[in-house]
Formats: sequence, C-alpha cells, structure tokens
Amino acid sequence: MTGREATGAAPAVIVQVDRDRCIGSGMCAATAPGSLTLGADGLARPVREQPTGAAGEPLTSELADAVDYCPVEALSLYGVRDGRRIDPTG
Amino acid sequence: MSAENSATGARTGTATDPGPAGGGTAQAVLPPLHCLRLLEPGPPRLAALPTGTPVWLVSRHADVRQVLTDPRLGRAPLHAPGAPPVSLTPNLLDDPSSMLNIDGVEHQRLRRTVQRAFTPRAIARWRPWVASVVEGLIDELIDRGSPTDIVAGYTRPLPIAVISRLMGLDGLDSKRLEHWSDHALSATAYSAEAIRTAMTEFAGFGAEVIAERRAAPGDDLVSSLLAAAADTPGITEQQIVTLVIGLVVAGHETTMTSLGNALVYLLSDGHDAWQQLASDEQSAAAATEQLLRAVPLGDSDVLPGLLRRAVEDLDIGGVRIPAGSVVAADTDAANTDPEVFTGDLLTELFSPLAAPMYTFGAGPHHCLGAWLARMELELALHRLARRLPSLRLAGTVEAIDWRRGLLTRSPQHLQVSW
Ligand code: HEM
Ligand code: HEM
Ligand code: SF4
Repeated sequence: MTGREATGAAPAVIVQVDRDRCIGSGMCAATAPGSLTLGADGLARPVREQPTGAAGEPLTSELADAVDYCPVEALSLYGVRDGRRIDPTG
Repeated sequence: MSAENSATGARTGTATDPGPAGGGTAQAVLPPLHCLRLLEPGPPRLAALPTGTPVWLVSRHADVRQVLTDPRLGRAPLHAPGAPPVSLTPNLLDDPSSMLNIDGVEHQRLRRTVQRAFTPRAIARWRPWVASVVEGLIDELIDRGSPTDIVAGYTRPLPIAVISRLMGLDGLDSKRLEHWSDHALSATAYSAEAIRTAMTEFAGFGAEVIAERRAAPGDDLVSSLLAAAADTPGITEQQIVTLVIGLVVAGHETTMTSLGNALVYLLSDGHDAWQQLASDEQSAAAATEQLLRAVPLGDSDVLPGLLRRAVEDLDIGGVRIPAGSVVAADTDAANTDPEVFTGDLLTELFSPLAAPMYTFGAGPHHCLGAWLARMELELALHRLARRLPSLRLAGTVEAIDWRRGLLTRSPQHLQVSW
C-alpha cells in the first residue's frame, strides 16, 4: 500500500483519463487529490489540464497508487520529456 | 400497495398470462429474461417499493450514471437509524458492515484492500486456470452424456469453483460453499431459520480460513487481502470476515444468473450466434458485453434497481429530489435506453457497446468482481460453443422452471442435448 518511492527527482508526467472507460469510482480523487478530481459529470479529470508542451507534474507515490487502483484502468501516465507511457507497476 | 405501481407492473412482461406449462399448479409462465418489457426511460418518477416505501425510479442512461456517481446519494444512509424499510426479507445485503453499505473514506479504505487484486490486469493473470476450470466442467458434462441439466453441471458450479481456486480453498469445500451461497441468496427457497444457520456456519468457516492464512500465508486472494488489511488502520475483524465470505456469495448468484439467462437466449432466439461464439475469444468477449447489457438479471418486482438515499436535496434529470428520498437506478432500463442504444441484440451481438453499460453499476460501488465475471462468462460461452457446437435446448422456453432470488431470476434447471 505504500507506493513506490521516487528515486532522486520524481519524473515529470502528464496524467490522462480515458473518459470512455472511467466509471466514476472516485478512487483516484481520494488517493491522489492533488492530481485528480471528479468533474460535475461524475467522471475523473486531471486537476491541472495540461496543454501540450507543459511542464507536467511530479510522479508522486499517491499518483502511482491512483493509477494502480483504478478499477477499470482508465488512467495513464506519459513522460513529459519523451511522451512515453509510464507503467508505475513496471 | 405495490400491485399497481410502476415499479412492479412495468417489467413482468407476460407474467400474468395463464401458462400452458404450469405442471398442474396455477403458476403463470414467465417470459425469459431477454424478452422482458423494460421500463420506458423518462424523467425520474415516484413509485413504491414492496415495503410501501416511496422510491424515485431513475431510468435514463445519463440519470442512472448520475445516481451511481453523485456523492449526495449514498448506500450507508439506507441503513441509518430511522431510514424507511427497503426490503421485506432481511438479508445480509443489508449487513451494515459489508462494503456495499458504507460510503466515502471508510468505503475507500476497505475497497483498497482488495481492489488491486481485481483490476483488469490482475484478473487477466488468472485466465489460464479459469479456462481450466471451465474445461473441467465441460469434460464432466460430456461424460454425463446428452441430455443433461446444464445448470446443475455448469452454470451453478462455475462461479464457486473459480472463486475457491482464487482463494486457495480446498476443492472439497465447493459443496459447502455452494450450499451456503444458495441459502444466502435464495430468499424464497429456504426458511429464515435455515438461512440464519447457514450464515452462522459460513461466517465460522470464513474465520477459520482467515486464521489458517494468517498462520501460513500463501499467494492466494485471502492471504493478499489479509496483508493489505494489516497495513490499513481501522478495518474491523468483522469486516474482514464479511469481505472473505462476501466474495464467495457476491459472485455466485450473479454470475450463475447471467450465464444461465445468456444460455436461454443463445439456445433459443439467439441460436444463430452460437457458431460465431465458438470461432474466437474476441467475438465471445464482445458478445459477453452485449449479453450483460441487454439480458436483465431479474424482474424488478422486488427491487426496481440499485438503491441509494439522498443526503441532501438534488436535481436528477430536471426533477427535484428531496433529502432523505430513496432512489432506484434502473440499470436495465438505462442499458436499453433508445437515446443511446438503438440496435437489436442479435444484429449487434458481436459489435462494441455504443455507450457504457451499468450492469456492474458505476461510481464507488462499481462491481469489484466485474472483470472476473466478464472473464468467466466469456470463457464459459466460448469454450462451450467450441466443444458442443450442436448444443440445443431439450425442452421449450415456456416450460422452464425459474429459480427466483431477491433480485434475480434464472433457470432452476435447463435440459440440453447435443
Ligand atoms: C455477472 C456477474 C455480476 C454482476 C452482474 C454484478 C453486479 C454488481 C453490481 C450491480 C454491483 C453494485 C451494487 C450497487 O451499486 O448497488 C456490484 C458490487 C459488488 N460486486 Fe458484483 N456482480 C457480479 C459478479 C461479481 C463477482 C464475481 C464478485 C466477486 C468476486 C463480485 C463482487 C462484488 C462486490 C464485492 C461488490 C461491492 C462493491 C462495493 O460496494 O464497493 N461481483 N456487483
Ligand atoms: C454472507 C454474506 C452475504 C449474504 C448472505 C448476502 C446476501 C445477498 C442477497 C440476499 C442478495 C440478493 C440476491 C438475489 O437477487 O437473490 C445479494 C446480492 C448481492 N450481494 Fe450479497 N450478501 C452477502 C455478502 C455480500 C458482500 C460482502 C457483498 C459486497 C461487499 C455483497 C454484494 C452483493 C451484490 C453486489 C449483490 C447484487 C445485487 C445488488 O447490488 O443489490 N454481498 N446478496
Ligand atoms: S479511479 Fe478510474 S474509474 Fe475511478 S474515477 Fe478515477 S479514473 Fe474514473
């Protein structure tokens, strides 16, 4: 339950919510309230909508946990630098 | 009180027609589940539960999603002191310590102890041996020979066999688990006394398994659940016991019911699809989604949908719902809302869903076992169609003897031949 400790500086990531998959469980918003929230439509969205080329946000252990606990795997993380998908369990 | 309200009247199809196959009793012939006439979606409307408690019926696709995801509606307030009665027969669905009946932070804490084991990726790892359980049951079915009862030999034992392997339980426990789950879920078939006795024994069994795994942890679901619970402050021993035995019960009736009713459809009106089900797993996966969407688990004369209670005033679909109201999300109506789903089941059977379906609910209580249930159904249908391509009903749909649970209806027996 502790999440992964970031080694050195946490990599900057962009969070994406697949809103066709999201079932609005609210798990992510409860686990990583700094990164994810529930919108008025009951579905999750990133707290900070990131325009392309943005600085992203640090991959905290809360955020990694949120990705892992999503019941429908609707969350994904992309590295800001290379745009590659990051699998926090990996 | 309830006879004329829309909660009870709208969904029974031809249930009041006198039936030709009553077997000497005056019992009416019930339509198969894929032929129910569902509630016409519309704005929330007031009806009554069988207990007489007023209930707001919510039926449109978007409104059902709101009911299930809006934090102003909860499960816990249904069981708060002074809450109006919502069920005639007390059952452990009403157990306030169960995950289904707590909300908010407390719910999330309990749910997190098991969620990691139930994500799509985690479940995918169990695929080979879910397949082996399925194949084993088909072997036994074939050994028994045609004709045979596919409920007794396949749809009923499958969910228990799967969950007991997940939990690392001895194969010998299957019969006992089936007995307990049957009692827990069949409100009509057993006396209250018999149900109480079975539940006490079941809880005792759960406590034993927990003690064993604490002493000698393995890589099974119970051990990982205990490890997660040990890391999580504030989880009570009773919650852990309810969780462990609840996992057996929650998947039993539901999965057996979906599979039984899917087979009634596929061996009658949907028979043209049988061959394609056998062809590949992707087709079976698509068909599973469509069947889960379009074939209801039961009639809604006892419970018209997934229940919630409003903790404050709110608007749903343009209608003001006062604080304290009981609300029912009619997922069957939402799943066939013509605003969203237009095609007919047989032509769409192998197409992706036009929109999310709510058979597994949505929001914080979205079915924990959804991905396991999907995998079981998909493999059960695909492998059966592959091994028995000529499978057909040995009797008529009209003659089916229905098993009625609190929320569910599925064939008690289903004679098939090949
Ligand atoms: C076709 C089979 C199944 C169907 C249709 C189904 C349906 C549902 C629905 C509708 C809910 C939400 C109830 C509500 O919001 O009021 C739910 C919750 C739940 N289901 Fe399932 N279920 C199925 C199979 C399973 C299986 C196989 C398991 C266990 C391994 C399971 C475990 C649970 C649990 C633990 C909850 C409570 C979750 C919570 O409150 O957070 N279900 N299910
Ligand atoms: C020994 C424990 C339990 C008993 C006796 C029990 C009893 C029942 C009963 C009577 C029903 C109605 C089924 C029907 O249609 O006939 C039901 C359904 C259901 N149970 Fe349980 N239950 C138990 C534990 C749990 C637990 C712990 C959970 C989840 C955490 C759970 C989740 C469900 C779900 C999701 C349904 C499906 C329908 C709905 O959402 O209302 N059950 N259970
Ligand atoms: S955890 Fe997943 S399903 Fe739940 S709200 Fe977040 S993104 Fe949606």
